[in-house]
Amino acid sequence: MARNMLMTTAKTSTIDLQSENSLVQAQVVRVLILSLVCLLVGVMSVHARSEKGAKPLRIAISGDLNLLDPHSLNETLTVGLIGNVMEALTRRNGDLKIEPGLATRWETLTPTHWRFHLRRKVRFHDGSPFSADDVVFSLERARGPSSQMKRRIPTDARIVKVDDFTVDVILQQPNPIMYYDWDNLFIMSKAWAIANKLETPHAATEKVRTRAVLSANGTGPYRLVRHSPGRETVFERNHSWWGEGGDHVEKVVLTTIRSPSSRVAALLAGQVDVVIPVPLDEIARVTGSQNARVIAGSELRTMFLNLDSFRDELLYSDVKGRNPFKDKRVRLAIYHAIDIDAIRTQLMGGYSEPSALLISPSLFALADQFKRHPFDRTKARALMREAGYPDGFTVTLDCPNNRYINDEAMCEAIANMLRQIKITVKVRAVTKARFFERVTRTRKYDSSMSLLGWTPGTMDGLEIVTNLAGCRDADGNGALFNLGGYCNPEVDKLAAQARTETDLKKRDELIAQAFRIIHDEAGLIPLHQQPLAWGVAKGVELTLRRDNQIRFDLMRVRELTGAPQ
Amino acid sequence: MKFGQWHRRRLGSVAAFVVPRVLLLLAAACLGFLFAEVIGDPVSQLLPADATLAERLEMRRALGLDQPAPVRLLAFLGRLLTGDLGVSWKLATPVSTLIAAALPVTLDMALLGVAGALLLAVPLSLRLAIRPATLSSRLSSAAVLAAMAIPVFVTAIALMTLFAAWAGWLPAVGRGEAVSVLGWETGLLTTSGLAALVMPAATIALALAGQFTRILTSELTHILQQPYITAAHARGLPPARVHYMHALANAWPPLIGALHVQLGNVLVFAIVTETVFERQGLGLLFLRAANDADMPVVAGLIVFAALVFTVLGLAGDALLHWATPRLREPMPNADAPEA
Repeated sequence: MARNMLMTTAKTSTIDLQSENSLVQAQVVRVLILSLVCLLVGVMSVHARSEKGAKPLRIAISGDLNLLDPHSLNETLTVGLIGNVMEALTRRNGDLKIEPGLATRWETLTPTHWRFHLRRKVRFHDGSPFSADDVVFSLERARGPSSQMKRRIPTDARIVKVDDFTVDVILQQPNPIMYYDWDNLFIMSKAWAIANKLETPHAATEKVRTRAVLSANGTGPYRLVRHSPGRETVFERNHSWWGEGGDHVEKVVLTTIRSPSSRVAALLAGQVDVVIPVPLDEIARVTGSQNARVIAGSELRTMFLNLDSFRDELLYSDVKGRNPFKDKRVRLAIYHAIDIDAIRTQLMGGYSEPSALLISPSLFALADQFKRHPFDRTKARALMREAGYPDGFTVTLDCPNNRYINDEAMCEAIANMLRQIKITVKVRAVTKARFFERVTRTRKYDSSMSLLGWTPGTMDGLEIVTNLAGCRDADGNGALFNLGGYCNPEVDKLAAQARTETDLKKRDELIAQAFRIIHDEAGLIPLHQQPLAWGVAKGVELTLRRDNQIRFDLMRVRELTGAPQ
Repeated sequence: MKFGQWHRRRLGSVAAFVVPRVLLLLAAACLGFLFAEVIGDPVSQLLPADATLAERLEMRRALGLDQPAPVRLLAFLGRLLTGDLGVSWKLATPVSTLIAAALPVTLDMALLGVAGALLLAVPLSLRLAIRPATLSSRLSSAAVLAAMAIPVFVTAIALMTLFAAWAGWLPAVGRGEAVSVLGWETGLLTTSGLAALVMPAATIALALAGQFTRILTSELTHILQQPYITAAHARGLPPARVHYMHALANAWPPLIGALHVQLGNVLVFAIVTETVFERQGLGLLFLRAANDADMPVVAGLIVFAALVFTVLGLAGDALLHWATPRLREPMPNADAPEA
């Protein structure tokens, strides 16, 4: 028997090496498949294992958190996130009401003389004590030429240290709302800034960035643990914070996921706990899932239309010899022709808030006085005939396609609505970089009609009038962002009065009068407050801030599972 | 053989090899500059909405945008010659640093994707070449065509929805952990890195497999009809050896050519895949730069891509020469003196 086997083996070995080769090949394939299976099993088990243990709150945002110099970049995302680590003299709560921050109280000794009383026993994250020196240093720094926050402090104001916990700001003209946008004017530690060569804000054109500009030393409820721009940023609760932070989340990990559907997939997969924002067309998907839900509301940003009433003849229209947008009947006709409620229900998932003003009603005390011109196609057609355009005209509407929520879709909807009153609108939708290049001063307001969104940085109505609706020249002097060049000297007069009016009630009245004029002649056409939707995993609760700033102290965790159900 | 003539010919052929490629690189650099010019206004992306006119003009001056375009183009080309790809305006980092950080991420995915595509395409095309008429062959053929027709982002999102959102087996986004090997960061050696690579690589593999299969199948069908294949069978060689060693070995040249052409596709697929799976590679870098009107990065990336294509083209040609001994032999009687 053994001899037979030997003979068979001998015979086999002489036939050829080729069959041995196939044998080897088969073996190789088997080994490959086996190792692949082991790998998959290992991957899945490791993946599952790593979900247990210490649970940070994982937030995914759509933009990038890059440099952390508090005065370098005036942008909602950056400023909001830095606001968890650094603090200012004032702060805003979840409802955006102003509260004491590093200043416990403030008063005007005379209309131009402000005094801020500072909080005692506060320390920066590196342990150094907070005092008036840091306030004076930070305010002066924020006023520097490379700062993007400099407009928040009047250039001719004097900042004076009275004692270690009192700082005076002395103005040349009264400004009753001087501190309205100071809740994001962060206070840096003077000693730390000097030691890290950050005496002046990192300029946007600086070719090199220091390492310190990727760190932040503040007094806030969270400290920065680690920051790799575009990848991951880790925050930890500051247990020695001066405020009430007992139920704050212990640890927060922030990542960027640009693609909206990937962001939602990551939420549904349990890879993240909060996603900001959820695109409107994915809301149903999140709401329908077991382990996540949507928290939605309307934002501070107001969307509106600009119409070129500056030029004598429109650049992108078939009307020659006159400008239809100079006639308020045409503007009102366009206003009446827009069914903003249809846009709300069909395009915005029901979450937008139609506006009668160019500012969110939550930021203007007298907003109730204003109602939108009603959607009335008959009236619109009558106005067009009355104005001398019975056959309508054509015009081009400029629109960004990646800046606002459903911006291009909104432009297309408006184009369709205007077609009903015989205005043929051609929508020119481009990326935001190219859009802003065209419609702003960069190309001398090279547009006849454009869509724009605005959030007032000062949280106040006056800037709407001055920035968006004040008279300007062809170069933009006077009102840089008045894209359509709308001009009514009455409005400018009211704005000038309001600027120095110290009685806040009278001031609101003046602004309301200016708004009334703009409304009555449809100088600009307001559309709606943009909707806002965040996605949260089960067990996470949060309050949405209407200015879309991400603050961890407004988030609570009941229970984090970190794994899909 | 006359010494001088041979060397001049060799030099000539090398020059014929290199000069067009250098000119192409130059053209690509100019194109890169042009593209950067039309992506939008960088100033509006760097300054807040309420910046004054004076500030905007000052920013333009600081960025060098007040110079006329031809002057800037020459300056750009000059910097390129010294190896300076520029500095990102948005991130205040040299473009070469950004590329160096992003390249491994894309490479991990691209290499695995191409390998996956070949793993799918080779056995499949052999099967299709040997037995084209069976039902399974026809079905696989249809499947391959379908895979080619489906847009990359659809495949990517479908995979992500299936394996991450529904099943939860694989991470939806990210790269996982990476380890440094000889200064090169790769995610191929960690479990989390590999887990995060499965879906992106599969997406690219599915997108490329179709084209590879088509090329290989037609090539193999032609080869299998050759007399030397019949001879090999007749000699009693096992079918596997005939197909893999003899048939496939001769099918490489057109595949290498196809690979080079498909490289362009790999880059485009990488942009989409990286966006969907949030991998910080070259594709995402390019997209972000285009969105932010970050001109140096856009121009630098286009030049880098052109460089990569050129180098890979050279490598491909060299590989082709090595794989096809026929090309290595000098032309018959080229140097022989007149008989």
